[in-house]
Amino acid sequence: MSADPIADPITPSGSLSAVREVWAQRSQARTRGDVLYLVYVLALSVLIVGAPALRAAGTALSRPDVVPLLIATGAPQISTAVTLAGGASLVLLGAVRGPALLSPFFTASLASSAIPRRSVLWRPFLRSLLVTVLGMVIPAVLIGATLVSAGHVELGAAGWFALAAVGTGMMLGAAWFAGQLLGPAGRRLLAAALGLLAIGALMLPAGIGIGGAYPVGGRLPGPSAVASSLVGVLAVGAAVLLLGRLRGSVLQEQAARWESATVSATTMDLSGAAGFFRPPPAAGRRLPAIGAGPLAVLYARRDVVAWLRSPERTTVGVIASLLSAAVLAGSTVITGPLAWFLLLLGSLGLWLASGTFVDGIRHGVHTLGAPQLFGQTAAVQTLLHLTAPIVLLTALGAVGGLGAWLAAGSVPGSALPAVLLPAVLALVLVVGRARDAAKGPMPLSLSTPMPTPQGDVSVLPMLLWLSDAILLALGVGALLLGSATGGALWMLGAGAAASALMGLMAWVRLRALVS
Amino acid sequence: MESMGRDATLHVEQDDRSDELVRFEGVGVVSDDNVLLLDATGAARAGEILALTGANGSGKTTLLRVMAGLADPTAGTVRIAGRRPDDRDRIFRAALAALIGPPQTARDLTIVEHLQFIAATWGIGAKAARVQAEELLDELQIGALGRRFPHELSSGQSQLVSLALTLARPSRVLLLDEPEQRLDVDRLGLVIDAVRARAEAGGAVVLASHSPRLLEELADVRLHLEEQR
Repeated sequence: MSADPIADPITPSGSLSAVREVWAQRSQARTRGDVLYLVYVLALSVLIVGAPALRAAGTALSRPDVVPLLIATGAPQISTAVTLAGGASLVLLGAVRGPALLSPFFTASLASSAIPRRSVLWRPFLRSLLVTVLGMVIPAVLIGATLVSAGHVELGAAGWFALAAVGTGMMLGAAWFAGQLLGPAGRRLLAAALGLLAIGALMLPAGIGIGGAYPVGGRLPGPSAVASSLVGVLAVGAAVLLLGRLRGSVLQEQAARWESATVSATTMDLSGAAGFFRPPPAAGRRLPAIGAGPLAVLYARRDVVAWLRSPERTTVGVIASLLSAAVLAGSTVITGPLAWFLLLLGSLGLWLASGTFVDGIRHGVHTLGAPQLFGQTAAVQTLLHLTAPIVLLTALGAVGGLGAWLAAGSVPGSALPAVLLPAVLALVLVVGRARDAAKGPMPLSLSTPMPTPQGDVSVLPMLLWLSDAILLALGVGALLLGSATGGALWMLGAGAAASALMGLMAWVRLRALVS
Repeated sequence: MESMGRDATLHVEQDDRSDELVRFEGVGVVSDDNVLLLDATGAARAGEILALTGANGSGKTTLLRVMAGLADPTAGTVRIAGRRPDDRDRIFRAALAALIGPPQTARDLTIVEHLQFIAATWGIGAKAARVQAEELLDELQIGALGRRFPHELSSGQSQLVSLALTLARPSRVLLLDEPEQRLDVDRLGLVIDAVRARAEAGGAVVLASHSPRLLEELADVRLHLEEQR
């Protein structure tokens, strides 16, 4: 070890103490008192607001159209399968935004320095872990509270389930980290394995892992919860030990992408933010994207080949579309608040999945304002780029809906709405994507202060403008489900009207961008 | 304020505009009291190359944008192939190709496919589009880049590809804004040859440039724009 402190800035323990000292001397730095106050406020919020809110929600959900679904025979297996599928998704997410991530500045100054990466990255990793743990614990407590309110289980059973959720959340955090650490082949293999395990879990006679601790029907709640927690702790421990194995190029690339996306999102450019998570294509460059035929075929073929060039993204999009369609179909065969929850979840999922297949539409709109390269105007290009995603997504919607209907026991008479709802919604969402692509910057008038006795509410129109695409997707889903009570023709009519409205809005926005 | 080369003045004096593809008279652009361009007048016939020169901020790009229909003049008139620049006019669109800033590429098409796709959207058959794309790549000596995606290009390669994309579509008028950007000496020679070939094929070219070599070898007519202060 060199005696020169400049040549070797690491303290003997390899810790970050010197860096922390410098960082704490900033004028904006949080003092120890600030941190303690933050912890105090957080703890009080959880106790005063969070816990009673969950309990109240549990009481509200203990209804005859919700509880039977929570105590269904296959519920433990489904909870295991959903968790495994979530793990597969997190593994894939790790490729674009891993849990152990610093800002670009700290990545360049700390993670690229001689300080061990583990010393630098364990804090952000633990912060990310909080997301997966809370993501598991909150629904687990909600399910537990509902079943306790309905008198189906004791408080202890709900407690074991919550404990199992903590351990599972830690395992999911480790899976997320694995996605960041592994190369493309290993990552895909792990995600595929978890996906297959999710399917396999549905066929088991009993739930395992978190499913084993499910409050109703879980075979070994105590041992399952303890085992889940132990495995979770071990997985997190292993991940912390492996933090030093993360590659600098991965950290730099993800940090830059995350910061750009954050900047876009905070400046109300959500689609721009989402764009940073679209990795550039790297495969299938020899596939013939351009061929003979009429313009509609020319554009559709080019779009289809483009999808094949991002196989990972396309696979995720297809799976997400099928699952969302299945969830939407589920909303047509049950009733009550769970049906509406499934509708919102499925609509949101299908809207997100549709983003995978509409790069052509975005490109058509983006040619506006530049010297014309293509033989068609931006509006006509957009129209021609609609064909391929409409065909694919409506087909996926129908297949996913049919699959869910078959899995739900093929209830006679419910097949048509189960298939039509996701298929028609897919059509409307793709046309809506053209509208989203032509959105343009936020009008300045929306940021005009709106003083009221309750304060400035100008944030509300800004939030509405920001989330209009999502709100419209959810609204159209609700409209279609509502129209299903009138029959298939009503649903088709509502879908046609919503598509026409979306198309009209897209056209108006394109006109506004041109002028 | 602008001054025009002797050749251009002669063209105007002859008043024979039958083969004139580009004409602009007294064009000015003022934006929020900022003068971007003042009183520019010039013309280019079929087979002729008009070069816009002038310091940064003299309005060269603004004038090109006006000619391309991307900006409206606040004074003067512009005619491209006899039409007023208007993006909604199909005949105008078919007549004019322009490279003003980087073109919007598709992230998931290779370079050769971009060239084929552009040609196909203008009604050129798939086979002919493929042949034309290969010829363009050969002409600019970027055949090795054909299978690359746009994000896999260097800065200079992007400039050559941008030019190739602009040349891939049919046009009678070609506008180029500083085509020499980021090019080495050899590549600049290729661009000069390519532009000259378009003019010799009967097109009118208007280009803005700071490159003495490019101006020396290409400019048939020069229009010098004075810096706007």
